[in-house]
Amino acid sequence: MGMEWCMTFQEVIFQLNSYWSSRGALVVQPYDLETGAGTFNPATMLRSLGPEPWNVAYVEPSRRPSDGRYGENPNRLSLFYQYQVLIKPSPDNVQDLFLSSIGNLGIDFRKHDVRFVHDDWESPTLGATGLGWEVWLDGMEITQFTYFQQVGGIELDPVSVELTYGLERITMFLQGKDDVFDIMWNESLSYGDIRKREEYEFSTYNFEAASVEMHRSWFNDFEKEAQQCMERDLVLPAYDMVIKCSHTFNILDARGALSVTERTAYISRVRNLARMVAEAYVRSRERQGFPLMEEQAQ
Amino acid sequence: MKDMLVEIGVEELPHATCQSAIDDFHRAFTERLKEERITYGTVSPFGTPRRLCLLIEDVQERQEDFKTEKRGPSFEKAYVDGKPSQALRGFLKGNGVEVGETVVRGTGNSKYVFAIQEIKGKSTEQLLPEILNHVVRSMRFPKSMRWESSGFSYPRPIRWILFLFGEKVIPFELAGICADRYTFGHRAYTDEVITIDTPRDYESVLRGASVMPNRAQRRKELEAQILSLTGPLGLKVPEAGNILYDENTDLTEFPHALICKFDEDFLQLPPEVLISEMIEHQHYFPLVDEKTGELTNSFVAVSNIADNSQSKAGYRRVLRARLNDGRFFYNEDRKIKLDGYLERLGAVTFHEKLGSMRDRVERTGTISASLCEALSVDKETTSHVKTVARLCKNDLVTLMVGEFPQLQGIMGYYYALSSGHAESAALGIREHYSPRFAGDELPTAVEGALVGIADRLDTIMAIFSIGLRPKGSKDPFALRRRVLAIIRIIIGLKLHFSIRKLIEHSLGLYSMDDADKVREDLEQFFHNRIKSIFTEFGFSYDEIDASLANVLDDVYEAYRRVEALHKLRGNDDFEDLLISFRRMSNIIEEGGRFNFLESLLKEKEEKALHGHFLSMRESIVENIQKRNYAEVYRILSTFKPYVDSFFDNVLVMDENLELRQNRLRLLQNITLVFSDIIDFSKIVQPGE
Repeated sequence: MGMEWCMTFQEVIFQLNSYWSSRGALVVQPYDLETGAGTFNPATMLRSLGPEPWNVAYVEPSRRPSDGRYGENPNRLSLFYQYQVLIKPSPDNVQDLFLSSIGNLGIDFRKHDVRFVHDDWESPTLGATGLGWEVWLDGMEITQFTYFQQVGGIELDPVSVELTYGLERITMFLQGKDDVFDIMWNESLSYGDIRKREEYEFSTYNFEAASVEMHRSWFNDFEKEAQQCMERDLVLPAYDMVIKCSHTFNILDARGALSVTERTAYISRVRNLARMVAEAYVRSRERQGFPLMEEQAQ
Repeated sequence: MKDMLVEIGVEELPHATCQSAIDDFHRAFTERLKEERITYGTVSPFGTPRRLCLLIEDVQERQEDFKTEKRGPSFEKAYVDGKPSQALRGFLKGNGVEVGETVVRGTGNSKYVFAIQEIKGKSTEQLLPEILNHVVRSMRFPKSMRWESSGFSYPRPIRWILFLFGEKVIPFELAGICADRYTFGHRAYTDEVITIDTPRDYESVLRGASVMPNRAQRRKELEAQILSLTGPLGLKVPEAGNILYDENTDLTEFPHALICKFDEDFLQLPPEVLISEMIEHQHYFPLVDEKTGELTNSFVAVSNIADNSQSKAGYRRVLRARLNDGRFFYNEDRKIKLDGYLERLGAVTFHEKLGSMRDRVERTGTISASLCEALSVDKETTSHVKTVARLCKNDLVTLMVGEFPQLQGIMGYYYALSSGHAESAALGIREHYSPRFAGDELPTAVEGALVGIADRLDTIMAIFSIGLRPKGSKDPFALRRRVLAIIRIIIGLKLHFSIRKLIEHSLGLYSMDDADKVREDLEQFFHNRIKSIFTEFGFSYDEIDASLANVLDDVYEAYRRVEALHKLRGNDDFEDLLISFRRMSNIIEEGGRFNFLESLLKEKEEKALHGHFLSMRESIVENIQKRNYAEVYRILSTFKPYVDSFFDNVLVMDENLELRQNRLRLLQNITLVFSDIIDFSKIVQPGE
């Protein structure tokens, strides 16, 4: 890693986009709803279902209301950026593909210790599980690497592999910064310049100001709306409601509004919706004749 | 003979699975070879996170030949006029043998024809694919996954298979992969295939590719490296860090330890927090001062690459972030007093039918108070016990324990101190969880001990009150382990109190339909558990049965009685004496109650026995009162010659009713005086 040449935050994204694009990935844009992770984006959650091949890469702003620290903690954020890659079926050389993607950012594996450390993944709200690792770079987790086994309660066949890069952490590493707000977004502006105030305001909102009453009622409404959509077989709008439920729940949780039992109950309500949508999505793709299967055959 | 080499190349196995996978692969493969009657020489198992491997030297190229024998028709039915019968011909045909390959065995009417078949061993080469297939499919793992279209499942994807017999590749296919002679070296240095020509080259070829495939060697290497880094600095790895040797061995293909430091400021945090952050999250070795045992700000990280000088900054940075988190939790948690968390505890459900953790803490408080009373604990200690009972679960809802559940009790200790509570109360909070596992230390002071007992008793009673008592092997609330902990504390801290009364007094804390039934069940449960716990302590069934009178009213005394009796068992004279006393107590049962008259003693042996009894009686009673059981049993053994000659020379069941009754009364008096400590009728002779 040459210190004279430091990749900026946006250059890291450019590099990853160009790397994965050149490996055949469809590069899409973030979803336009508040998601907790790139996994929630329908390009992962829904596309991982069923037999159709899929190969996608995108940045996903990920909201974690409970992780906010008012912009005062050098490593914790209420919103951060994930770089998400999902490939179905999982290619045999996916570890090598991943390693060259970070080698491509200028990391020398002979001088920096890259390790695949066991970390299985589970999303109780999405009814999803997978096996894999957190990838360590000199002891720091920079990527979650997961072979999906189940999504929305459905066993996956073929299996998708998901790579979730922590963009801030990778950039901190590349730029040798200890504080996330110090990393350079481009040559002149830092991450802090762009986002520090936002962290402060959203931490305040999530922990102190958000209306509990309104969010509780929203949750109920979104849940009902999801069911209403499902009755009319509008699977994609129904899934939007699942995302909204999940984010609303996260706000209530950060606000400290939920008792332990209530928390469990909310999670299972989201999971039930996610299952329902996942099953409906597969049926809907089947009715459409799994259109992406043909593309593959050509 | 040829050497065999098999290597399964995988994406990084979970480190906790590595060692057992290496062992299982080794065991399953060699077992299978034995079953197939293929002999072999030295076996060298290898394994890293990326490969499971076996080198088996000097493998026979053929299975051993072997003979099978099959019994056919009886000799009578096999031959008609000296010629093979229909029955025999059918048997021969069915087994594919000729008449010449049979023998006749047996005598008289039970002579039979046996078909003897020589089976030629098959070639090992031919059998190896099926052997490997069987072995790979028979291995069991805690968690497996699918990754390719055949649907085969394994802990992590298999990416290559190397399978050589001699210099030849054995054809084999699994999960879409064909075996070959290729392997891969260390990821960081090369991604090119490495060819293995002969099995015995394997280890040296891999060493050349920066991999140390021998796990035991890798672990030794790691230990040596750490010792050479820490020794000269007067530092060492504390006991809590011992699990890290295995973890790091299974996280690297070649370990390279390096010593780093974190900012000294962090040492203001409780050492347990620092240690948990290092061990749990980063697999770093914490280091303590060799002399004082105090935690230092040095630590050892283990890297997978040799040139790791640039990694150091990364290791430090990650740990700093972690410790900052720890500091954040510690500071946030202390913003309110430990007492203030009680309310949040109310929001944590213990069990849907048993209310919240707060309800549970209140019950524990009541039970602890009864215990203090029963044990006549002084006023000051009682008030500490009250504090411990009230605060002991509060740390469960702090941020730190949320992050590190294993710090429960420990954080309670620190937070109690910072909230201004007395050291002994804080220590009680910490110690009320002890013992946490078999062999763990007991609470050092009464505060933790009493609340620990009350806490466990509450769980036991609560679960019984809703009808979920353990059944068979099902004990989801670990109630049996809880009784064990209670008994260990009682014995370890020499506590005298009645569990029976404590249960009786506390029953009102729970709502249930049939309190009497629950009480009976609880007493039964405790009684059975104590018997089985005493057995685990090494006492035999009969000495436990003989000493267990009113055990629930004072477990510790019962324990002491068993222990005293146990110490004398095995001595032949004492065993004989016990059997004589058992006989005495059995005779008496038939005897009824009579008045004893010294004037009716006739024979010199009964007079001698009575005389000895008179001279010892006071001392026996006194020693029983003083609970000096060893002395009581010593006195008991002095009865041996008197009892022996009594039974040798005196007929108890004399025809004269008066004499008979008087003798029975004598024996009754003697056994009665011991009856508070032992029930002779329960004694069993070895071999009975």
